[in-house]
Amino acid sequence: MFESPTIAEFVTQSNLASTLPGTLLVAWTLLLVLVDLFAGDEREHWTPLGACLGLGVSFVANLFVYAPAADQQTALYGMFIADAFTGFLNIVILVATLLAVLMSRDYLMRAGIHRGEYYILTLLSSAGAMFMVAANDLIVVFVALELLSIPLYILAAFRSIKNDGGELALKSEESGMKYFILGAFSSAFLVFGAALVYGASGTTNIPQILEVAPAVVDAASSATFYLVVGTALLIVGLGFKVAVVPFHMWTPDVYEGAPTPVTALMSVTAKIGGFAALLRILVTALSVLLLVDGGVAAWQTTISIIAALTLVLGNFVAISQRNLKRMLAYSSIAHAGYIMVALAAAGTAGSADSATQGALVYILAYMFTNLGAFAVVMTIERVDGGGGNIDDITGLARSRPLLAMAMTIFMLSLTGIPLTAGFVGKFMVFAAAVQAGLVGLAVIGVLTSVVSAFYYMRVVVNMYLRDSSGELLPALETVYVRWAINIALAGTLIFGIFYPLASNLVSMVSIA
Amino acid sequence: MDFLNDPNALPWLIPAGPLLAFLIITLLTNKSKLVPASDHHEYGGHHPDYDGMLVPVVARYSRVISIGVGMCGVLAALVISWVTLYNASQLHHIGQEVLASSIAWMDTGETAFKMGVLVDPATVIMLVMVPIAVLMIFIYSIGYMAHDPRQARFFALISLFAGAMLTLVVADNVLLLFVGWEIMGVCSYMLIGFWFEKESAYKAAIKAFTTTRIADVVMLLGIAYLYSLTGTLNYRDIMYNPETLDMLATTAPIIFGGWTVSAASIIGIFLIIGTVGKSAQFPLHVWLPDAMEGPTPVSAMIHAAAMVSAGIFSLIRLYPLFAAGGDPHHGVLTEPLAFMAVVGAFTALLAATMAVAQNDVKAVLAYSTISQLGFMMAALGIGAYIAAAFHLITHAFFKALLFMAAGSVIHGMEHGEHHVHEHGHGHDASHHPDEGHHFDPQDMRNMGGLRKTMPVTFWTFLIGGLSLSGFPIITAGFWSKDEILADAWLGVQNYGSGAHGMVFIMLALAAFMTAFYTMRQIALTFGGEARTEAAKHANLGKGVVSITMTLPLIILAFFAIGAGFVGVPNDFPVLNAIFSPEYNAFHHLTVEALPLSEATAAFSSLPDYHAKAPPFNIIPVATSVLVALLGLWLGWLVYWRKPLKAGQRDPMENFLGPLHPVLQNRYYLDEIYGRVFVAPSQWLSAQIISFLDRGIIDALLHIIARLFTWLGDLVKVLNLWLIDGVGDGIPIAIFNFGGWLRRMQSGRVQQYMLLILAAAVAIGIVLVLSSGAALAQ
Amino acid sequence: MNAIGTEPYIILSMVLFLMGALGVLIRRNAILLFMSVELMLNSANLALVAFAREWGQVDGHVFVFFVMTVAAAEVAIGLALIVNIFRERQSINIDDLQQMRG
Repeated sequence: MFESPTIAEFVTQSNLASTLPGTLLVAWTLLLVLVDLFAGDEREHWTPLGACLGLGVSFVANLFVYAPAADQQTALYGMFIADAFTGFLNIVILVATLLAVLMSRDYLMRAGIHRGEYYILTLLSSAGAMFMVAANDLIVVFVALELLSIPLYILAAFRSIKNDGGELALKSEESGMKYFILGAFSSAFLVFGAALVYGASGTTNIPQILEVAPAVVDAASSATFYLVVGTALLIVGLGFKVAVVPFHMWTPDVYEGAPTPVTALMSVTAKIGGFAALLRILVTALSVLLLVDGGVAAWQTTISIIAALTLVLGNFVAISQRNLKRMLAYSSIAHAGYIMVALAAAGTAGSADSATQGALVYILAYMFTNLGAFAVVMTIERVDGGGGNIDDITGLARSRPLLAMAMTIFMLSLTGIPLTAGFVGKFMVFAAAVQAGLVGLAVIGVLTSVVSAFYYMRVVVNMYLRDSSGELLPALETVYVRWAINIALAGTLIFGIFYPLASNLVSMVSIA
Repeated sequence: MDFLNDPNALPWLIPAGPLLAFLIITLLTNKSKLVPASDHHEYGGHHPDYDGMLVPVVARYSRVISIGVGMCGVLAALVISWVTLYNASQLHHIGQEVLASSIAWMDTGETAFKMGVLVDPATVIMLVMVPIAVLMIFIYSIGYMAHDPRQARFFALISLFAGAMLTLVVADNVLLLFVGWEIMGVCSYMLIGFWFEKESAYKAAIKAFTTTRIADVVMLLGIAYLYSLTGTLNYRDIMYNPETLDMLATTAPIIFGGWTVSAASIIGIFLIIGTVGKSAQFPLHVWLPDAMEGPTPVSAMIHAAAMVSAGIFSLIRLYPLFAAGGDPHHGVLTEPLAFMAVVGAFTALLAATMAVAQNDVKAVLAYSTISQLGFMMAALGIGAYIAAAFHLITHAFFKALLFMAAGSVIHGMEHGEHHVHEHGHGHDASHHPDEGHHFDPQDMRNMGGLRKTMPVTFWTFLIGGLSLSGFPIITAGFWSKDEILADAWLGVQNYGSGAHGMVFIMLALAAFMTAFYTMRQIALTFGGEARTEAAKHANLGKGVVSITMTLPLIILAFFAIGAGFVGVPNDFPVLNAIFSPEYNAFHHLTVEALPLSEATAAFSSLPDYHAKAPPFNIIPVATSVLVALLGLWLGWLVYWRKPLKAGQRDPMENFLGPLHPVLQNRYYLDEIYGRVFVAPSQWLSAQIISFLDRGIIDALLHIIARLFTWLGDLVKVLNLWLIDGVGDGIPIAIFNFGGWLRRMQSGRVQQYMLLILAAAVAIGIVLVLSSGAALAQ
Repeated sequence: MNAIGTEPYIILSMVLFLMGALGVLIRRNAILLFMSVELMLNSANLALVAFAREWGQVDGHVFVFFVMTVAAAEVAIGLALIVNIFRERQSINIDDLQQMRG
């Protein structure tokens, strides 16, 4: 296809510069391995600091690469794409990782499992997520997904390095193993789906699939069958990553057993990666499956059903949870459902952009709020694993008023109360759904939001209204976690109060 | 940056400095630790109420940085305001042209609700006054708060206060005005209760907050109604748009018998009630005197530069709405105008009578503020729009001066008291009998003779006092008060308007009393000989404290005189040649904020907002000269010529007899409110808690909780019921189709995977079906 | 050359995929479970190679190399986890992992 170029030609021709945010992060991480090696006893300071700096470097690179690029660029001969969509999600991923790193240092010190490789794995996983949002080719989707997932398998099992036979180590180990087996299983679906789509269209490049797919559909041959079944398998593989019903089953088990900062991280970055790939594949590549008369994509029904199931199951099962992490796990399933609503809305011709923008704003709001909530949960968890139940936060308002206030704001944002970021996200998603003609789905969304208020508000009620029976909760957190909570709180409030900020940020995003 | 070069967008930055300063101080520089109040080394404060407590002490470097940050913020606001004023002066015809910029804040379907900034003549006059007054208050605070352990907190809050005021000033719509309004409410709450260890301080804070809140709720109703009728809250779209005004004035929502009340009137009265609370008019004036509990710079902020001015400023902004449907210049008042005239004139007189009997140096000023705000409100009520704006500006300058001078006096008295203690002066007969253990440095009966020890304070206070009294020709207060009276007289003379007559008489009386109690205050504080040891030694000391506390007084004294000359009527004998040869500058500028005559002429419901200024008439001028001089002379006669001796009764007590305690106790209004409103509402809330909360709300919550738990359980049970039944035989389960729903969250990985596989099949089928429909075409 | 068309390969790969999936579902031993997952991935590889032959491109082959590399990485992680679990519990029965549920 192309003659082999010199290295310099390769660098310029391939436009490697547009992949810098991700590649710089990987390079930095490899350097960090060395830093960690030589830091010795100082590693508990240097490695997290280095990780934060690496995120900063990547952040700056992202600004340079994406800020002027309202018009998209591709890199490595069409394998990667750099546009506003990528740039925005990169920022979300980087902020999420920063918050998770801030939480982690404290957690690892408390649990006595401080190891440098933890941060390295975290950064690698985030780099995977960043490649995934920049993926413009099914091969890259697959490889990036694995780069995202494999470190998370290890991180989920990270507590088991203590090997003390303690309950937490066993849980963490089980969590990692479950996540791994199910992840590998769903990866196989993804690969097989990609293979079938490739077979039908003769290319793995997402825009090129868009070009040839109409002919494939019109031919009504076995290729058409491959394309449809391939799409179904891709939905399964990615649906697992974003944890929507019925691929959600791993979520509560894995979230409960994994170390809390890891749970926080995977509840955000893994979902972002999965949704980005779903949006790119379904909206960009397979929007040709539009029915001519209604202007509605064939996959819209499927996605709508999944969204509705996810909303109902996630929100209702969350009600009966006592463990806070498990409750947040089900709540994160429910939130994936809201993003699925936006995805379904993107299947109507003409509303792809507004729905994508709604999904992005929702992801942004969800990132700040969910990480903040996990950070608060982490501060009240005890080293032995106790303290994570809903009864354990009783009376928090009296012992730790500021912490309780922060938690209240996170809960309000998760419910979607105005003046919080969560409201802005829900508003945009529902507006997009209504615009796309999915009124029923929007109604289900609103109703389940009301249901969700019940279990979120129970947390608030427990903190404020019920008297604490036991001793006052001591302050366990360090300044790192406090900053994580501060940042999350600021994001939740700023994007909630300055209503147009988020929608202006995503206004130039278009992937259709 | 384009932003800085765009004169339309620049006003956004005016409030940014103080707001940013608030954030920086709060988040970064306010580092404190707790030390015992008895630790004099760490804690340099001098408030005896802190004894035995742990007080937070801010590190010294952090105090200095906080002050620096606060000053930078307000200086930035000042500079940007001046640049904006320059930009505004470059407009061809300000009023018809304005500086405006807005962003879509929230999409409301077809249109978007816009938030923005606006610089029109009304904004301009505030931008001249507010930043300077605020800067003076900041400089003064450096000295006044020098020994307070919570300086950083103070500067953070007062920065936020200033930022909110500036937001309100540059806002282009009523909602943003309301936002600034409410932030100021919160700041005033926290600053009045700044020394919250004192019970009286936190009670005063709560009182101020709740009283203004009552009014704010009504105001919010007015805003909502306005929005529902017009679909916008932008000033230019409503107040400068005759069509909207005409629509509001001719819409008739409520009819009582034959009396129709227009929508404009209903909205107007709602909005005015908001100001009645904020600007402390009867009957919601009770919070303002108590607000003295805050540090004196806060009093100056509340009484002069910001909070109460905000109330009047909002009325000035909304004036076209109030006047729509009437014609105040020809003696026809609308309901809101009449409401303002009555409330304002009554408050002006009522508060003036209360001020006569006060002994607290700041309380006198507090009542005088209420009274002067009444002047402005009454002026607006009779259509004297420009006079009200004029008085707002001059009053802000001289009242800020008076408050800070009074603060200096108090500071000096405390200084003197310390001096007495340290040098072991025993109690002697010259002490006031009421003094007891608690020496009150604010009681004027403890003062006297301060002109000798605090000359700068004396002279500046004298200038401010004369301006407040309306001393003829040379003071700013004279020109603004005279203009109000001239406007009132015009109505009486030309149209025989009763309302104008009432306002004229009541304000003239109030002006007389103002002159009298001001002279009384000056005489009691500075005249005669020192009545206590503390007064004998009262001074501001030397160094930074003394400089920062006197410099603003001198600057403001200049404005207390000079600010009047921008508004000299252009037919005033002799002086017009010097100050207004062509036109009255203030009049010329301010009137442009109102809709044009040509535009309103087409609508019969609207008055001509650009009516001519009242022609020169000797009667109002003579009246204002007379009442001012008479009041000052009487005060001089009673209090200065024969200074009060230590322990001597106030001559007013003899003169007024049984009326004196009534005035001194503010007509017992606080007690009446306590009985009529506070006690019953406390009783009611107790009832609500015991009945509503426990009986109904709890039960309701329980029912909802049950319902949802039950639903959650139902889903769980369904899972079990649907899925159970296939023991361990997973291989069989593959063949047994029902088996795949086996107990969903079993913890078993393989069941999860089974579900995935099944779902994959299902999705494939659904997809094939839905694309099959496409293919079939 | 192309005596055999693409479709038989695809049918074979689908059968292999299903067999792998069934193996994953039925086996209790974690190691056998992994082998089944590998079977699924390799069935996809077969399909990719077959399609690449049909289209006359290298894209499919490139994809296969990536899949093989990633699968190797996955196995490394998986085996490490299994060793860890075996040391704790002296068992690699997948059904033992159900501490968390509900």
